[in-house]
Amino acid sequence: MITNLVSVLLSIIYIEDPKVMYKYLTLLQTSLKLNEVETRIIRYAQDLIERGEPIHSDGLKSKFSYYFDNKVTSSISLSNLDFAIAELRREQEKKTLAEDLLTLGSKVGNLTQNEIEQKIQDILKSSSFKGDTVPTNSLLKKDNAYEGLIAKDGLSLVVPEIEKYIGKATKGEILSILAFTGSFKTVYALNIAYENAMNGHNVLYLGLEDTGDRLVSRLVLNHIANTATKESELIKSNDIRDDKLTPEQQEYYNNKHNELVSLISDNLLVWDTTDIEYKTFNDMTTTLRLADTEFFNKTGKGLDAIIVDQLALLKYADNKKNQYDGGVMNDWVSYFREQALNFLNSTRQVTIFLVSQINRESFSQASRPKSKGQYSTTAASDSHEIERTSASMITLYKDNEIDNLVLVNIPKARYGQVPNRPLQVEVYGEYCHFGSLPNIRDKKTLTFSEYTAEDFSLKDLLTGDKK
Amino acid sequence: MLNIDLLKRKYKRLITFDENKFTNELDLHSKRLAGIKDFNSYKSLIIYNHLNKNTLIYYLCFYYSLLDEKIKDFEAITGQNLIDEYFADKDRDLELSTNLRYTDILFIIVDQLDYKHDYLETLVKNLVDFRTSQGLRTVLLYQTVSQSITEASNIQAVETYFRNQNFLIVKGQQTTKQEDIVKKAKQQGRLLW
Repeated sequence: MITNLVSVLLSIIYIEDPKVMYKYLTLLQTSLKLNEVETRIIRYAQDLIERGEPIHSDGLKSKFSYYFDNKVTSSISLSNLDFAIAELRREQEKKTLAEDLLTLGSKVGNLTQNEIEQKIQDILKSSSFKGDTVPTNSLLKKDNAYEGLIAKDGLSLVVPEIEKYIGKATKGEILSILAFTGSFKTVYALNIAYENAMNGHNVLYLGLEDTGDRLVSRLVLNHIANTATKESELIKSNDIRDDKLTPEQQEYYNNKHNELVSLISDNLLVWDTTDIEYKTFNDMTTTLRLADTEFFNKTGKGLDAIIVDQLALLKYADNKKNQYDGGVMNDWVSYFREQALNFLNSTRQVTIFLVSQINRESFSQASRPKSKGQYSTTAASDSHEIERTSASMITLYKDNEIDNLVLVNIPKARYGQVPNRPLQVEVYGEYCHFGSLPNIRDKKTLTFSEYTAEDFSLKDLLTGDKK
Repeated sequence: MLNIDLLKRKYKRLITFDENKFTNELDLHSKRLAGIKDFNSYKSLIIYNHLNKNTLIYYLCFYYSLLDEKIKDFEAITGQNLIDEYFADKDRDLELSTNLRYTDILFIIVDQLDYKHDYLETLVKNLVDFRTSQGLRTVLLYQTVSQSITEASNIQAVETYFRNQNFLIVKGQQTTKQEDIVKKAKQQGRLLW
């Protein structure tokens, strides 16, 4: 089939169902390079649909007659549109590759042979055009197949007990963190960001529901909780909010802030909604590319992980609020799945953490004594695509009966196992810390054999500290 | 391994009197239960108790939490409340009913001075049966006025049921006392075996 963009665009504006028409207009936007006029036509049609106004296809055609007239060879049926768009994309990719190679050809005289080889490799690597090459069969003999399967460079999930079931988070995976409102989603997500940045992984934290300053303040509190050797060094978030810190504490906090920045600012980018463009997939791709370049300039390697906190807020991107029907979120989840497997079309893989909300019905079920904290895979409220796409799902349930305890369930672990009952994990929301307090922990723990030992003083139970 | 602070906070509401006295009673429970063979392995048991019931519940909540490495939920209900709840009809507290069936540890408190009540025995037996099938722990605290009481006269059928099911029954101190007498007599050379 011989296709051109004009035929495709005209065929789309003749689709009767506005929702289907919108979907294909968006697909054109995200998958093809468009010129100014084409972009304007698409935006015009999308605006009409968003406002709920009818689209008169003939009217639209005549409004942009200078674009459509005399160019259309044939119309394309709805069932062939996907194929036609894919074919156009392939043509565009081929053209881009040819242009890149031509540009390189014009500079060959000034380059060494090694440089030429390197440039060709770079062009081929960054090009999405794969020609007519038959894809490689994954079923290949290898010198050491086992070696490639070990998650040795995986990302930390902060709590060893969670990793015991899921393993480390590896490249190409999506992990979802799900919880009802006020159940430590952001605390956990920030702890994952902190821990992995400290380990030298490059993490982009997209904070869509809070300001960058406030998120950084919580990271500082967690840094303090991680490094404090006695309880008196800990600082509560409420005390900062209410300006209750002593001058000494303020100085300590400021020092810790700067210490944190020195330690991880190269490896962790915290961007809030004022910093980034995220209205469309193209905007998000640009944002991710900027982050990748920034990491590359600072550390010599690209981005390793993205944390999206939280996914639900993407539904307001691109003014889609008026016609939100759940499909938008599925599209975003699919977008991130593509990024995890083929980051910026570079064949690189990254890890993506999606923070998302639990639906009310699941929360109500998980609040019953019989199944306390035991969320299932269907608990996500934003998108059913989450349960299919996520390699692992981690749910958090705040136990209201006891402070500093969260029930962590793992309803899905593609490369691990699902626990029989939710795990009990310490959490200190006031210090923005997930897990036990590392340097204060030993004095606070008790084992069964200690408790039942003859010399154990039961008075210690009431004083709290084990002597 | 669990965090003491979290355990303390969880069971704090059980400390209803002077902490020193409370601790002394915890010590007594600890010493008494330490010598019981295979105590950990019983999911359902009767314990005769003449001390404050909260100290025993507190001790056991810590004990089972540390044993299973999980901070356990618990529910405590008296025999009379159990009957009231069962016959409450439309005023029935459904949340409590669910808790009684599914909470991690259930303490049913029956007093030596309670009237004998056939319904109570049936209710207790059914509840223990259901919870045993779910693998949950149930402790029937038989509160006595003195440590020498060794017969649960008003829940005899339940005790028989426990015995038949090979559940654990931790009686009062009379047996221990006799053992002490024998031990003392042996030490004094009056008994030779």
